[in-house]
Amino acid sequence: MRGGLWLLAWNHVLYNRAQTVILTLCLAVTMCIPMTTRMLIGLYESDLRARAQATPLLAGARGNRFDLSLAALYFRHSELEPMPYGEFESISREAAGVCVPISVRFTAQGYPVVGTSADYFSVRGMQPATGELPQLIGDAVVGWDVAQDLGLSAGDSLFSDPVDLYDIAKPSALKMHVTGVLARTGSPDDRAVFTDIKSAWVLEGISHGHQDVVNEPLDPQMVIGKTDELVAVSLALMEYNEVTPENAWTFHTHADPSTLPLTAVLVWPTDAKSGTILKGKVNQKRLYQMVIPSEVISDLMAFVFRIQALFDSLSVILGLSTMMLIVLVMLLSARIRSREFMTLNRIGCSRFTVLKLYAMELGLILFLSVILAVGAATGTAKALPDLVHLVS
Amino acid sequence: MSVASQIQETDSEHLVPMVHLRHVEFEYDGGRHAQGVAGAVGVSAGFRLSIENLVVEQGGRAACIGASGTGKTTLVNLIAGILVPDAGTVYLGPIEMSELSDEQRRSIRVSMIGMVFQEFELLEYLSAGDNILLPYYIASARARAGIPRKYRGETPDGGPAGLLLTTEVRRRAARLADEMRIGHLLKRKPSRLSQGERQRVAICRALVVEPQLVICDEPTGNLDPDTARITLDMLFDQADRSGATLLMVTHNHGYLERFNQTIDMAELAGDMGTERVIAADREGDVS
Repeated sequence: MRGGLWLLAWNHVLYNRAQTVILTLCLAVTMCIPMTTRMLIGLYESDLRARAQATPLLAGARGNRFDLSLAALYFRHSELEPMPYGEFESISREAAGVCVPISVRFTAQGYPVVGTSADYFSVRGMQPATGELPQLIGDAVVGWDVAQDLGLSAGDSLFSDPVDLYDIAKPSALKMHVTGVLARTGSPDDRAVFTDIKSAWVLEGISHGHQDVVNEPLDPQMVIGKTDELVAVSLALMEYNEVTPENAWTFHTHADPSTLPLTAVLVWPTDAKSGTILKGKVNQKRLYQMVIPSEVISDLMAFVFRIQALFDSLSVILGLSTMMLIVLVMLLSARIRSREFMTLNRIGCSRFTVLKLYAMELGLILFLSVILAVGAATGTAKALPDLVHLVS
Repeated sequence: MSVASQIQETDSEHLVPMVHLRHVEFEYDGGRHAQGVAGAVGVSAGFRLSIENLVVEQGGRAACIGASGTGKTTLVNLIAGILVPDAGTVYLGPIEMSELSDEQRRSIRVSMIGMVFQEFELLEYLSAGDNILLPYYIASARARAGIPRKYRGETPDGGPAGLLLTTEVRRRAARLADEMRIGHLLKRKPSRLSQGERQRVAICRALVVEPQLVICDEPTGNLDPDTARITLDMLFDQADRSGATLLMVTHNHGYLERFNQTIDMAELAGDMGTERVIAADREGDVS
């Protein structure tokens, strides 16, 4: 009988296609929303945590530690106060381990330009898929997704995004030479452009290259003042917007190197003890802060989970209202099908069997809904770009 | 000779009864039998049916006639075990239906009784073939096992075989459909069948379990005369082949000569209080 009842139920579900599709969609949407939310938050959490746990310590300007972590680990744009390069040197001296400077203040074609040192690639285990890591000022290696999106490969060029097109005092776009494409990592590194930290300062306009105003003849209109040792020139003097072998030697910095800006310093201490000591020392100065990214991300996730709890509550309400509607539909359907049920009863079918048949039909619709909801949730989770990238 | 004049009191002593009602009292009083049930079977609440003695012989052809509301459907529902009498006994062969539980009566109904309705009552979402096999889909394998042990050995098929959908059953259903000339329509849904074809599917559904009793509630009521005649021919032919007892509710007195027994509800209605259901034997050997 059981097989026979399933056949009846399946035929009924198939025969009433429109009703089945509507009910299935209603239930699937009701299930899909919390399912998708949970999957996405799970994905978001695992990505955030993995990245944070791979970075033991992080130093930066005092202020919002979430902004600091998101900027340094996920290259999210922020308005953080810069940290001077001298602090990096200080931390490097005190730390037993690897220290990496990070500057994330500019973009190229919308992708963050990360100024860092060669150590970044080794501690993150990043290798170029093609080409090589940047060796000179003005060189850049691009993440896998950047290369795919912009169609870049080693030997191509990439302009940084100008800060202000109409202000000639602001640094102009720098034409960077792509030396390689990094292998895919599945992390925010795939969607970033990496340069040497000195190149980042060129983007800042702190370092620049221009015509030799001391030894080469200069348009007199460009000269504002002149002594035996120094020449003051107009801001209208064109700076190089590309580093070439011919002009590389002209690039220089007027400021004290220890004051040059960084976004953060990533630290991989040799052991937990030295990390704890370093953290204490940095935080004691009160000028800057050193945080443990995994703790920051845990706190951040606590906020996310609160939002998820709200979503869950809403989903329960949505689920209940849908269930009530389904029950109403089933009751109305039972009324419409009373003649059919009476026939079954007269032939010899018990009321319990009729109820079973009804439950089987609902079960089939539920089954289809679950398949649809799981498929949709999985598809959404896969189709949506990595949420970590959305926040970076 | 009028129908009424042919009616004579049944002498159950000389018959091998397939159906036997004795001192049956039934009333739709709104209590034990809900008003909804009364409405569903076409009578009003407060309707009372009393049957002193009614026998339909095994293999017999009995017609139940009478105006609307006289209790024809109530009578067949009592016989089929859909309704339970307030008093008296209903026998189906050796089985006393009125002492069985609802589940046991359903087991009897699905495995021993074939039912044909005026409105065909086919399930629109099943193909004609699946409609024919419907009793096998809804009945448990324990259907015949549900018959009380003391009656099992006495059931005409000799025991609790169970209502299992086997290849043989499918073959039988197909053969039945061929004989009813709907063999080529088995994959069609009822909505794509003519009225006559639908009723033949319903008849196949009633006969596929090889029932001992076939109860037809105005099976030709929705058919045109020609289709009705053909359908009845087929029904009688199949009943003859299987040896099943046939009890048919009908309004059409033109068919009565094909039955060997007539149950006139009008007679009953005119004799309320000292009710007797009277059976007539066309052959005149029952008196």
